[in-house]
Amino acid sequence: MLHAHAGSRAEADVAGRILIVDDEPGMTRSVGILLRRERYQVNEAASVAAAVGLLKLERHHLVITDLMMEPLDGLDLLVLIRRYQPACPVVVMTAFATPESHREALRLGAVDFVEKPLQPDRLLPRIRYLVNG
Amino acid sequence: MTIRGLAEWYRGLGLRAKFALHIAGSILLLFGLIVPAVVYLQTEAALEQARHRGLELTKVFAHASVHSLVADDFLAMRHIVNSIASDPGVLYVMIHDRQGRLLVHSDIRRVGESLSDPVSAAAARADKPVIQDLPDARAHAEDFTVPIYVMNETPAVARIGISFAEEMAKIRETRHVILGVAILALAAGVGLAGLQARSVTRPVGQLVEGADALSRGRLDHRIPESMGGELAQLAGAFNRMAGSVQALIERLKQSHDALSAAQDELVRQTRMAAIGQIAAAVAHEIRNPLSALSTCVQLLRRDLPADSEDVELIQIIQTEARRLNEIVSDFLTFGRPRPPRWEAVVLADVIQEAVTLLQRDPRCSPALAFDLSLDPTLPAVPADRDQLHQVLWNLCLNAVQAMGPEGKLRVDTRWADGRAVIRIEDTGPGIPGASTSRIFDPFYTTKAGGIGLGLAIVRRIVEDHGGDIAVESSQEKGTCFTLTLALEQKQTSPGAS
Repeated sequence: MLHAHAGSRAEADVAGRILIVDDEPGMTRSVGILLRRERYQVNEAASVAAAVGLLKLERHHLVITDLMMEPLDGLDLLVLIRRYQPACPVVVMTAFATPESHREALRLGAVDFVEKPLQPDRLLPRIRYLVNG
Repeated sequence: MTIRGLAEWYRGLGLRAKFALHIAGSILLLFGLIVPAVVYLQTEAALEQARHRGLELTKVFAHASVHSLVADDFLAMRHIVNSIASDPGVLYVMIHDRQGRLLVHSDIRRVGESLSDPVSAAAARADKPVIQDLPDARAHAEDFTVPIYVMNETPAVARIGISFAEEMAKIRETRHVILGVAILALAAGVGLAGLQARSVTRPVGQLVEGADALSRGRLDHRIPESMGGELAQLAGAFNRMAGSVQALIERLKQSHDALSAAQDELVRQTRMAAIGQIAAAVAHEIRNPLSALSTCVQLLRRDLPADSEDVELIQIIQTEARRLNEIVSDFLTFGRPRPPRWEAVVLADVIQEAVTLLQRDPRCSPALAFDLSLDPTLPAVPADRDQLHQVLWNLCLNAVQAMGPEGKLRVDTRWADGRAVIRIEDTGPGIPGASTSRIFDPFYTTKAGGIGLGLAIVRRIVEDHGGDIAVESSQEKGTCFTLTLALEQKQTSPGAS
């Protein structure tokens, strides 16, 4: 209740709500700070389960997820997201891309597939486009 | 020499010597049996004939003497005696009475003498023709005695002594001739045996030589089959055997080569799979922190005033982070290569692009000269554009880094034998030592700050394209890489992905 209130108070000046999912805390924290500075509201999840919990609670404008996680991975999240927020675009990022994982991610509905290390200068315009349309 | 020693010596003899020895033995045995038999028979026949003649002569002498004996006509008797004694071989001619008193003798001085030697004694008693050996004669001689009949009485005996020296000389001569013939036959036999043995031992020697050569690994050795007969068959069989052995060993060698090639390939694939797994794990573990690091640094940089000294520090962090990521990328590219995505690639475009990027790169000295000589008639080659770009980039960057502040990079393309040839030549110091053969090995490096995968990736991509890469290097001229690519796609994989 308190959380929701705080959210709605900030609603006026946020550019959009983004969920970032990665089991590497350094990644979620750094990308979180980067996006908040760009005036997005950012939720961070360290696992697919935590991400699903957040997706059930709030509507998001964009999900950025890592691919390789345990026990459920980014591809599982792509499937689960269709159940809760079918319209939400998903960007998949990975430290190690293979042609197979790339193809599979796009088949399951990912709109973008980026390799780590992330390049903020290229990523931010793409996020702005995906969130605002 | 004992019998055992003799047998030992015989076993040690060569085939030829044994052959000659056998022939000589046979000839000696043959003559040893024949010569005494022939000589004995001939001697007997000659003596028999001579005895017969002697006896007949004595009988004629006895008969002819009867009349003169009765008439006591000494002169007529002497006449008969002399005519008989003049015969060659006649030793004596005589007539004596039963008491041994000589009535007539070829030696006239002995007439009247009484003979008492055993032969004469036996002759005096003879009542029929008798033949006796004369023991004291120099050569073989015999005494022939025939009683003389006068009115049914035999008052005296006629005797003739005959020497067989002439017959014996003839027999000796015959024996010598036979001996000579035997020696000639022996010599000829041994000689012929040697020749005959040679016609056997020479092919056998060739067989022995062939077997020896085969045992020493000279599998292409063959024996001439010109000798004919069983030996030719043997040589033929030997040659066929050698051929089979050679073919067998050739097949063995081939399957061994194939096996070791397959084994090498298996080892290489296993190693590459392991490197691939390590590369994936390393990429995951390094790129995540690297990504967080880059993001944080970029955030920090935004807040700094443009003239702050810390901007340079942050640039250093970013450059080094980029380098780390390049190493991970190289490791991944090498360890987990992707198959080429075939398309028609204009080499000149890719080369131009790589060189342009290189000229803007901070690692490239602005004083370096670039000389591109690209054949405009060269058609597009089937290749993976990104991978080809990486090959050219790696080779050109190596050249630029090797040359340092000054030098010239020359890139040219041409056709040769239906293939595109790209040469990348620098004026650098060349590749040190004998390491040209190793520079394509993974993790081999001669420059500081590299992990030695650049050229391994280059070779791998070129091989995936069905091409070749070669390097020449010298201290004076620098280094030249020659890249050859097929103008037509070798693989049957789809042309576009």
